[in-house]
Amino acid sequence: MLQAADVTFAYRGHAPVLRGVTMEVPANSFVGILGPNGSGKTTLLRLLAGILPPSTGRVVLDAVDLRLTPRSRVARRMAVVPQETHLAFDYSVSEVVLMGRYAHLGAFEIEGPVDFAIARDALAATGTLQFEDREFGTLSGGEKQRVIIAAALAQLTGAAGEGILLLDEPTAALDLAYQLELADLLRDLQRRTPMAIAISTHDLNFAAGLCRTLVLLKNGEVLAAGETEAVLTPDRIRALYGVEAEVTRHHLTGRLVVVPLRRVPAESRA
Amino acid sequence: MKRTVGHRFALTVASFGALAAAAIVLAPLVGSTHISLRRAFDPAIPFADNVDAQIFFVARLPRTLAGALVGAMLASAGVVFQGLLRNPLATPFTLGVSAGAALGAMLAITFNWSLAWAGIPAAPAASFAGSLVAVAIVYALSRARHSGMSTNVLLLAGVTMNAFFSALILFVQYFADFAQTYRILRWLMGDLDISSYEPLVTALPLVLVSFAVFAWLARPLNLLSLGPESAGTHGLDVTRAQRAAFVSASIATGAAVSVGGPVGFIGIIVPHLVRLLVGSDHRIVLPASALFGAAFLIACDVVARTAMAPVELPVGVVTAILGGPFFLWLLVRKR
Repeated sequence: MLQAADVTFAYRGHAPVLRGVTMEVPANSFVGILGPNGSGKTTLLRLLAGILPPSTGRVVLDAVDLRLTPRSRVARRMAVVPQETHLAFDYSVSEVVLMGRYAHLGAFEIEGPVDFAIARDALAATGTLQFEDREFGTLSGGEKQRVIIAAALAQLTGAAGEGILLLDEPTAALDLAYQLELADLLRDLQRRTPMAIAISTHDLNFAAGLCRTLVLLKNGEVLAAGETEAVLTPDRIRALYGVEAEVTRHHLTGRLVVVPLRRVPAESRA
Repeated sequence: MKRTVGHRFALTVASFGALAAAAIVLAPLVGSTHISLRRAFDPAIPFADNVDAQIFFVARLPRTLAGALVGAMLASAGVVFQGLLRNPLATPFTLGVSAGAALGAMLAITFNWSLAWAGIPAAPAASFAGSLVAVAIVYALSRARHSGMSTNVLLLAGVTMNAFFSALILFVQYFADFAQTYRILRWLMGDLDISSYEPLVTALPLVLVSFAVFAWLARPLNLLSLGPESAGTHGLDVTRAQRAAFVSASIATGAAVSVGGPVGFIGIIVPHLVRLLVGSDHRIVLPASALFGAAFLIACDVVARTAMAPVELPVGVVTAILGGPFFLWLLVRKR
């Protein structure tokens, strides 16, 4: 449903950040876009979200070029959770979540009982209903992120077709407990409502334990893509990060775990 | 989630509207000659014989309505600039947009001497053109740093623009004679001393156009608080909203400046007080700021007319005395 087809992107006057990237976010999938700093993973996510237009190639949503799809229609199908959200003014949590309903309302329409119900459901689903009357700015980083996810859920509710949720580096500003909480939340959301989730991250273990498929990016090109277990091998981790690592299944959780062992000197990298 | 937006809107318009209406009715009563409201509105006395009504409707009401219009326009233009640039210190005055508008109006005034200096149709148009030029520069700056404007850039840009337009204003003033120079100087301080309804009627189409766009802009401005990228992924056409905001705020500034000169600080004092009272939803903040701005500037003008009576100060002196310290306080308090 959401695909990048031979996408190249360069910021004006700079070398390309992405080169010939082809990948997809299928229905009800959980895709991780993984790579070291500067590999282009956040840029790829922004292209998928329609925030940036590709220099060449196409990003396609339901067989239609994203650039030819009206913004409001894109917004009803696809929501984005940015790394961090700073509001210019103080809004309450419920106001922020109701902003998710923008694409569902006419130019002068006011949110009705249906929108309020959707917003409350979204807050409840992300465990943030107790914050609804708080100022958004007074919440902690992890709480803010859950509220923004609630806004994204409100945005995707009532869409024609399965929703797509894109998260940019969701663990970048979170401590360990929140990381676990976020992973549980995302799994739980997908179990409840079928939707496609794609995240960009440099956190190997977060991605390994959560994502069913991975796209590995190196210097703006796809190094490998496919099912997490098939893709995440010691060879690829060495190629990606220059780090010798062991990939095993954890004996308690049963999830894939990456244990970095040591750095590989630059000249001996394959 | 307490009251719906519809309820809050009705409540806000009713309460701030009552305040503005009270200001409009009461302000003309204040002045060197005492008049009675009851006599002024007494239908039994013919208008030609009713001195109170003449003073009320002919001498004082135009000035009061000018205060209402200028206050409403500058306050709501301030809200729009703040939402657009994601910075609570942005206003027509601090960005130099008022100065641009003043330069436009000055050019029209100085080089069309055959027409009366206030109320000529050329003045609002030139004033709008001037503010549009200033706004285009601010817009280019904000695009160059696409996630909004930091306070530093905003203040520096404003200082530069104000200095630049002030220099050009002085240059244009060089071509005016003594009598005109005095009137222009008063007008540049921000002065509501108009003697007919004509400038108001001339500015009215601009006022209506900008208010119509502001009404549409309320929800886009809420989304822009999230940042332009998030606003886009929420379904907003960000470029279109930004252009609409810039153009409508310049129209409003142009209309206000063509009537009352570049009255300062209304665009920052009023929206801040309003947000403290009603929160940040622009669907509430915009109408509340327009109505409170009207009442506030009328009140400032009453002070300007009476503080040093019989001398009448330009209202811009009063707003600057209040606004300067207020602005500094905000700057210090800002996280």
